[in-house]
Amino acid sequence: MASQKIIAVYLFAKLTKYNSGKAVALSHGGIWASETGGENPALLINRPRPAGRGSPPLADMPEDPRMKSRYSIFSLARNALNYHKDWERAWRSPEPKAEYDAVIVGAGGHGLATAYYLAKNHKLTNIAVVEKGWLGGGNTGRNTTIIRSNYLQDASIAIYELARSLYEDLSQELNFNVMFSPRGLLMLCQTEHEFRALKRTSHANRLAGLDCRMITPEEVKRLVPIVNDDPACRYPILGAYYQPRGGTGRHDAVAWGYARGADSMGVDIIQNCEVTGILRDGDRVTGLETTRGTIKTKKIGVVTAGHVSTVCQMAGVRLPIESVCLQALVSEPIKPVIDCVVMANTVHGYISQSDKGELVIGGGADPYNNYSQRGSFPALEHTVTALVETFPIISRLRMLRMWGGIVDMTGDRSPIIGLTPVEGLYVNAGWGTGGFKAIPGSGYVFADTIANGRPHPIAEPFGLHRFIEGRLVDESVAAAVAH
Amino acid sequence: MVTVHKFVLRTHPVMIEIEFECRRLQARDGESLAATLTAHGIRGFRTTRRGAERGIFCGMGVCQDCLVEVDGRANERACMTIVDRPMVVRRESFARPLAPKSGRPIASGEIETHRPELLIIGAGPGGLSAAVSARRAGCAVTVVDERPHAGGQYFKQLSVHDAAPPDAQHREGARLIETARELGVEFEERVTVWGAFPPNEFGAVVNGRARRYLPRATIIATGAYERGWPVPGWTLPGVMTTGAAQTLWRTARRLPGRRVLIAGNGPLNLQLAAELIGGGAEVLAVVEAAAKPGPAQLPALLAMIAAAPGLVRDGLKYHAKRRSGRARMIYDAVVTGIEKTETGLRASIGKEAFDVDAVCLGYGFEPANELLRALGCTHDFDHERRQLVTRCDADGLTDRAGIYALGDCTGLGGARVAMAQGTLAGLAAAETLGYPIAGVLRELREKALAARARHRRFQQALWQIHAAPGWSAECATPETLICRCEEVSFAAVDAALGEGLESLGAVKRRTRIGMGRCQGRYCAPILDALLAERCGRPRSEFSGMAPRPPAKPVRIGDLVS
Ligand SMILES: Cc1cc2nc3c(=O)[nH]c(=O)nc-3n(C[C@H](O)[C@H](O)[C@H](O)COP(=O)(O)OP(=O)(O)OC[C@H]3O[C@@H](n4cnc5c(N)ncnc54)[C@H](O)[C@@H]3O)c2cc1C
Ligand code: FES
Repeated sequence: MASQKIIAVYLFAKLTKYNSGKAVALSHGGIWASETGGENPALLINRPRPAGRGSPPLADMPEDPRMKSRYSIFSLARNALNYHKDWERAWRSPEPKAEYDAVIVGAGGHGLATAYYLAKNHKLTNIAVVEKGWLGGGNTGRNTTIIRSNYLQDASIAIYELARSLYEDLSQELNFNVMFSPRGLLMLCQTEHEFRALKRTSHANRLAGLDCRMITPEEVKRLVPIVNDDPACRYPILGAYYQPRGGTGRHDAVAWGYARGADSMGVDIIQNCEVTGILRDGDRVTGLETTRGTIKTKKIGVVTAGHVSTVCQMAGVRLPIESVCLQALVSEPIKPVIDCVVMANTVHGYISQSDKGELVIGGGADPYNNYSQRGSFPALEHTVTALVETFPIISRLRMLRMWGGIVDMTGDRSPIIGLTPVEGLYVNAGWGTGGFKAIPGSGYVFADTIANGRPHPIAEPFGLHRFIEGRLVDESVAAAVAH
Repeated sequence: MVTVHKFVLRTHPVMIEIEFECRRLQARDGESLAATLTAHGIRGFRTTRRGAERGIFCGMGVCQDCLVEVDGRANERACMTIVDRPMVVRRESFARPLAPKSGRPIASGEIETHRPELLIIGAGPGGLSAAVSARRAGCAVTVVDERPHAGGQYFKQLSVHDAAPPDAQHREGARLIETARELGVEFEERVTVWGAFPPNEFGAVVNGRARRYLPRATIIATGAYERGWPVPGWTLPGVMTTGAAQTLWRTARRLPGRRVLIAGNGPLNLQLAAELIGGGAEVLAVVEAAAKPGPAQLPALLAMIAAAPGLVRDGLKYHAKRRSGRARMIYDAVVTGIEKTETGLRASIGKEAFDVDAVCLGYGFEPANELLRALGCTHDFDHERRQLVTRCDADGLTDRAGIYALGDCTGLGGARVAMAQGTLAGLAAAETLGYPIAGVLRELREKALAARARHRRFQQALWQIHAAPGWSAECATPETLICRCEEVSFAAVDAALGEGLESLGAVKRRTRIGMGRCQGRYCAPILDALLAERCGRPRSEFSGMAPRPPAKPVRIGDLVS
């Protein structure tokens, strides 16, 4: 409910202030892209929430006639008996067609969600998603899955809260358990300055209607017994910002769910297909060169995260984005010790526990631009030194895996969503170190933007124009460790 | 300090009493904990998430199946833990509880950094030979190895001083180690190199402390580990690799069991049979996947005799020993399944069943190339040998400046090839670092070149005789685990492939295959082969699992303290 209000209030303000011309047209069918008859996500938010934390198991999900085939306890059991010999393919592996109405470049969460909403809300089904590797293999499958919406600026709160509220019901929407687990999120205050900054964020968030509050060191220790509460340590706990319905989701499942949904509506997801060139006729796009041939199209949505600059450059568009490697690691499994997500911005790291019992630990980004997916030793050292101090328990655990992803950073730490100087070329990028949480909202507004050839009101502040006008959406403080 | 083995035969071995789950056990001073437990008939060391028992498998610190709690420290590898003091050992279980603690931070400051002129990772025959030749040229050399004693696989040294005396192979290794020491090579043992970072940086852990190596040049000689061979029952305690059984015998003079079946492909299995028979075990059979050599193999045999008559003679001796121990030789067959019985294990070879205490599997090796790949060295897939081969020049220089590679980690070649390659790489690295190669050193290089060529011919002929098909899906049942660590069955992998997942990364994310402690060493090559077959595309450097730190799981506190 709260989320719906936040988004509605924000939109009302936006529409009357900047888009008075368009507002009339939009308000006819409601603001939610309903010109094309799509479902109102505000209605989704009103659906009864599953009891308890997280999403219900697959078997409890209501029937949805739109899906071509459903995962149910019966199909699971049947397939178990058959030794899984006749699983239906989750998505097709189509050959690229010669022409599409629109092509999304990049089959990460954002690209797949965009395709899903294009098909579902805008009835654009003659579209394709092209991916150089395999779907969900980029940052979508490499992040630490934190979902929250406590940003500082109203524009950010609107898009992140739209996304977070869509997550609440995404498992039902996609008939695929994305394991959204609103287990509560803490941002520790470990310096006086941080305490004041987070208090400011908390005030701003509460004004915007977000469910959050500041909590005391004692409450922190109660919620997170593994935190070091020694007041004499270098970064003592002075309190924390708390968003009770922040949490985590299962990253791969989000990609698979959207992929399966999009595929079932006829979207071609073409993997192992790298874009090598963008074809233009004057100031408009006409198609793509790929490793699997030329594809004609009038609309291209580039959603390639760390590689967005290189792809856009193929159309001669330069973006104010830097790419760096961000790394994360996972410990060996232990019995549950932490049931919420804790971010420690001062020591630049954050931690949660997976359902397998592994501690998922995220850290800082490499302090220089690069395209390496491996991460550097100094960045790891920095993360670990600091985190061991705040969470002493982890020093006794073994690191099992460590990986990196190439993230796309903008100067104001806000995304770029919208049109480009080249007609028909749309971009959705710059989610940097924290875009997993935004996937449903980002896909939702980007689909609308592509379908209608103008920015969706929620996307409007995130256009490229802001770098010309200086109208930045500054999240560099609130984002801190921007995950 | 390297342990120098004085070949004195003590009449009474030094025993240490340790405690295991409230039982008192007599351990030999210097043996591995895995050896002590095995000698006392203890097979299951830990339980998995699904409650299955696991014990020693690889015997070389790679599979991470032998985890136990030692003096309160969780998840220690029994095979890499040396009994040198009384200790309290417990079975390990999945996901143990861990109590939170607070307090002052552990010392954090600059990580200890070493800047050796030439760093050699791996003290096997390859690494040792490289150390000797580089040192001869005048270069300062540091050799690091994870094990407590230099020697690697082939020259692994006795770590207890009792019962049987060292044999010729031990002695040859000891001489090589001695030579290196006398020349002034620095040895650093129990150094686990967990990560390699371009261009030439290494993260290591030594006795619970972090260390960074920033060498001027590096020679990587990390050897190989046994290939996974998923058949029903291959994860049962008592089923171990041929290498693991050989390590028990060659380092601690302990037998894997009284009654043993050895199955696999290649001459190592035969050597193990001979050694175990010599040690008093009853070897029921040696099961060889290759067909029985016939007249068609005569040219290959002649080539082997021409290249290395000594090695052929060794082979004949092993066969004689096998016959004297009445171990059958079964050709053209593989293990089809292993079951647990009340008294031990029952291994099936087709319709025939063998009741034994231990089953040894030796179906070839995978190169331990994780550090090389992390550094970005280019690899090619060798379809005949079914493994990645490091792209190197004639001296072992990879396509990354200052990084040399040799021995089995660059593609299997055996100890003799590794030694010749070591000599060449050691000289080449020294020369690049500014030490001229002239006179005797030049002769040394010529000799090494000739030896390498000769032993490569030998290897080629050897594997011609032992040519056998690789693992295929028919070897497994739906329940057979492909991924030991995460307990992912063949059926689960099959389902993921059936759903249309076409890359290793996607299957990994769907099933958790390859996400466990062993870092995908056993399952990833199998899955890669399956994918290649199903999707009709060739295996390559990029079709398998991407290199990623840590090469071995490492305690997080040890990364920085
Ligand atoms: C059990 C067994 C028996 C064999 N018997 C024969 C035989 O009879 N005849 C024959 O020709 N060949 C034999 N082989 C093959 C032979 O052992 C190898 O070809 C030879 O040892 C290769 O030498 P190497 O120096 O390349 O590797 P290795 O001898 O394997 O040495 C590599 C060393 O690197 C160390 N190491 C690896 N990774 C790290 C790390 N990350 N950090 C620190 N240290 C690390 C290891 O601990 C090891 O000591 C056998 C192999 C095995 C496993
Ligand atoms: S047996 Fe110890 S790690 Fe494999």
